[in-house]
Amino acid sequence: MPKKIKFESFKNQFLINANETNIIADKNKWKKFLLNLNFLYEGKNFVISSKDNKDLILKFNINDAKFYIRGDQDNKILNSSEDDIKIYNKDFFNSIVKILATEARFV
Amino acid sequence: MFSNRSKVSLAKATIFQNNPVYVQFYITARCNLTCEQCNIIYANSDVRECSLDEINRIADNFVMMRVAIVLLTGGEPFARKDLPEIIYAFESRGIHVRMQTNGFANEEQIAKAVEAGGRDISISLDSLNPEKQDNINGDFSKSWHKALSTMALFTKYMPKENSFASLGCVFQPKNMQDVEQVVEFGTAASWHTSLVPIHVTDYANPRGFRTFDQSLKFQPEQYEEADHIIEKVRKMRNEGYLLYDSDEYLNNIKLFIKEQSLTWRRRNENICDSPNLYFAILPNGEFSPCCDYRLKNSYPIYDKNFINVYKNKVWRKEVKNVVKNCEGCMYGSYPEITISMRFMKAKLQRIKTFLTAQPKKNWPLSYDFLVEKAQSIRNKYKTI
Repeated sequence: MPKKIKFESFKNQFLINANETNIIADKNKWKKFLLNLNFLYEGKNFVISSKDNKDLILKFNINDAKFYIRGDQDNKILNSSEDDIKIYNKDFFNSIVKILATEARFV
Repeated sequence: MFSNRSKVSLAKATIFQNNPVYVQFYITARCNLTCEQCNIIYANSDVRECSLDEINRIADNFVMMRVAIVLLTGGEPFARKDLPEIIYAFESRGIHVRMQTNGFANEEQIAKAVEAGGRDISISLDSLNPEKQDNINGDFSKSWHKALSTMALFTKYMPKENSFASLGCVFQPKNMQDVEQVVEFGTAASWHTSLVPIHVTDYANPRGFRTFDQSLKFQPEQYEEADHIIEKVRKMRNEGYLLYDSDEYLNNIKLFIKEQSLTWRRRNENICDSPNLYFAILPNGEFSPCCDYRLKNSYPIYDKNFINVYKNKVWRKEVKNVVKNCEGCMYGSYPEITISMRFMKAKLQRIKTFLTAQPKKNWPLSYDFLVEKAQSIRNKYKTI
């Protein structure tokens, strides 16, 4: 079955930001924690759970991320000198990482 | 095929190794396939795409930077409606364009891309087995047939002279027994083949292009067979089959799949040549060292000041701090450019491929011819 593009994008962006975050003191423990995460696509939700901690289940609306903004159509976003989409997504995924780190007691 | 500008840039790079002859421009992350080995369509989903105006400004900067070749990749580059204008932006400035497609481009798009100056195409083809290809492409039906149809269309519209066509073949356990067939098939159509071993990573080490799917990795019990196949295609190349890959590159494929240290960077302190010889551009026009890594800070290449940024020592240190920690990749062009510029034997091999020994092309080829040829090659290998 073809992969779900939005789900995979969400997973990927979450993992990139989780690996780049500087809010975690014990990086090695955090990396091991990340390796044991599970990701599910439920309805419109991206669900994060952990093999290490069965009580840890977090849900996020996939549509809250902004993906694949086209450059070949008239688009007001393209007129800004900065990439506001990238900035928005960075902030959004950093907030998810922070929620997860807090719930899993890394911070 | 190359403009005089591109030839001069390439010649200078072979001597000094300090101008970016090759740039991979990820013009979109959108794609109509979800190939199991590809992660870049998700990794680059978070940024907006460049406008055509920004792409024209990137092309202006490329002229000043003496860029020789730009690969327009994605995602699926043909998903952009303005692809012909993008091709023209570079070709009209003397910068050679290599186009890439998963094979889903239609006839009108192909005709317009060639009319805009595109003379160099790479299509993904991993197997002559349609069902296997469809599976690799993410279980999309008819994707193998579409790739062959697209091959036929490129042989119809591209000129026989001064053009280059290649098949990009991912080398993985699932298709390794098919690779010889792909090389033979490509040769019959006057298309070169280039191999890229599958790149796999994990959740604690995300990389732009590398899949998280551990089941796609080579297993120790498969190493011997993989080595044997690499030697067989090397022999085929030496006998005249159109395999693009150098000896050094093939040797490194064997190391890479066993997760051993790569050797193609050994003449540069085990660091690749980004940004000196190559780099990548994100869909939003920002610089990135390659498809796997980004910089923390944003450097749009369409910015007028980027040429000064590129020469800036502090910026170069920022890039080096990223690339020096990389374990190394085997993404075809990056290692092959380093190898071509730093290893004499490979350099001569590459000059021969592009400048002196172009295959005689029996183009145009029909879709039916390609399907029958694929079938006959598959049957031949069944009986071997």
